[in-house]
Amino acid sequence: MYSCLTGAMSKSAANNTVEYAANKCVGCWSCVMVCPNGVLARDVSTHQIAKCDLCPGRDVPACVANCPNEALTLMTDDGKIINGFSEDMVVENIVID
Amino acid sequence: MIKTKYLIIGNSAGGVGAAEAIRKHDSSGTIIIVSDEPYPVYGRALISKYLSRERIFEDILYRDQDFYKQNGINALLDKNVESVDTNTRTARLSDGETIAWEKLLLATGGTPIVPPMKGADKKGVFTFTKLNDAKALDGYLNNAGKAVVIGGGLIGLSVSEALHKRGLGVTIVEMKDRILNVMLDEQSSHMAEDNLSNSGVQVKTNNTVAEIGGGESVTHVILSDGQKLACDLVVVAIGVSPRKNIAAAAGIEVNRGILVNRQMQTSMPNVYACGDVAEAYDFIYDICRPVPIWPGAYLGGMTAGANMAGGEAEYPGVTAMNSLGYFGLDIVSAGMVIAPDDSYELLVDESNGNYKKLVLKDNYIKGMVFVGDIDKSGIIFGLMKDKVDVSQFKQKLLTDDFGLIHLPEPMWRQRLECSL
Repeated sequence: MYSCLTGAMSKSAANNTVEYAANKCVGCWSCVMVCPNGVLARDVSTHQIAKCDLCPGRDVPACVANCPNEALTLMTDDGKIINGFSEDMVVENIVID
Repeated sequence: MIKTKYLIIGNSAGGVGAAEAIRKHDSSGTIIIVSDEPYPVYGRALISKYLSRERIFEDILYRDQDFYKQNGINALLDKNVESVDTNTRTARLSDGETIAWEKLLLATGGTPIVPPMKGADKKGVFTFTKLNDAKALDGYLNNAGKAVVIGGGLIGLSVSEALHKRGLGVTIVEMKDRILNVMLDEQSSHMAEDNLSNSGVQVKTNNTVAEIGGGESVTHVILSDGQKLACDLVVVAIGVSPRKNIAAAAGIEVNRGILVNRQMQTSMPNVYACGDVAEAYDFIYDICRPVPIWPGAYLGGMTAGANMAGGEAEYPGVTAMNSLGYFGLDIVSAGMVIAPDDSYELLVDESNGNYKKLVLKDNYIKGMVFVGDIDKSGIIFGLMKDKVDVSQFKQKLLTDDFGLIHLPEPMWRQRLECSL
């Protein structure tokens, strides 16, 4: 978030999510360079970042809701599980950064 | 006299980061931001997109137009601060106004370096660090066909790309033997240079502009090796130096930039500095030095702002780190890209036309260069920043499928569950 040169990526004080305004992204990839989890993808067709937006409008992100193995869990920073199975089954978390 | 609790001089990443952090701790204390530019905060790196006409002004704004109003910030734009007095805690503007402050942040940025050069005062000689520079260049392009850019660094390449997109023939003149020599190693420099040549940009290394020629306006340059190049304009893009004169005159300790501690405090109580003007912490070299990059300015501003407002924040530090994509070639570099001696270990992967190199010392990553496939550079950067011993998964670091899954479970779990 701190690395964004354009203001496209910003932290929402309201729900503690990192919000992304694609129209402001110029594809400088500064966020790719510093994302410790490697979750930001270059969309080569638009030359902009593709970022998980946690499916705004849905209660639970589509991947969490539809994973056939129920391997995905949605957690908050402090480890609170919003949706999903028990913690020992977590393979990959989507963390609200 | 105007009174304010917080005075911020500078309205870019550092100043805005500070104002945002102040507001997290203090919702009502008065904030004044003074800027010598007439614009609300914009992404400084995007002036090249403005010049290339890929972005209009509204689309390079870093925050919404109502940012100042929303945050209760009094922005005094198009004003120069002449001096600050740390005893009386005042600042004098060049229009005669005096501002009394309780906490001061110097986020004054850098000034482009223009070395003494015969003809540098001619019409058609530009620098390229501010929106007004882009506007001035834009207004000069109508009858221009050829440009000479002095300096093959980040600013030089960004302005070259914009001018190239506007249809000009561009020649970059670089004093050293390779472009981007501060941030890249030899191989990646040459890849960048080949890419420029293939795109139709000329690069002349080991050369400088000895003289800018013409009448009232530029018509040519003469290089140090005697070559004469016809051109309609010259952009001086050698670098920036910290704009520290106000601080130095106020008796604040300066070296190349303003000295600050990990709280971003200067030698004077209640006075802070951040961004290109400051010498702040570099986590790779473990020293304070000027690292003029946008993310560092923003983080430094956030740290300063929190401390100014009574919070407790420590600057995590940055290091020389850049992501560039000029002329379609994606490059990421950070930290020590060239091993200082042979006690360092190098990991290199050159498969599929990419170039990836890591510089390690005793199993800790100290530097990285990625050309082409940069997608995993963030994970590597995180391991470098967090000083993680990579011995257990070293052989995996540069493989195509490298991911958090290759880290020991406690490590990836911790990284996922507690990201910054």
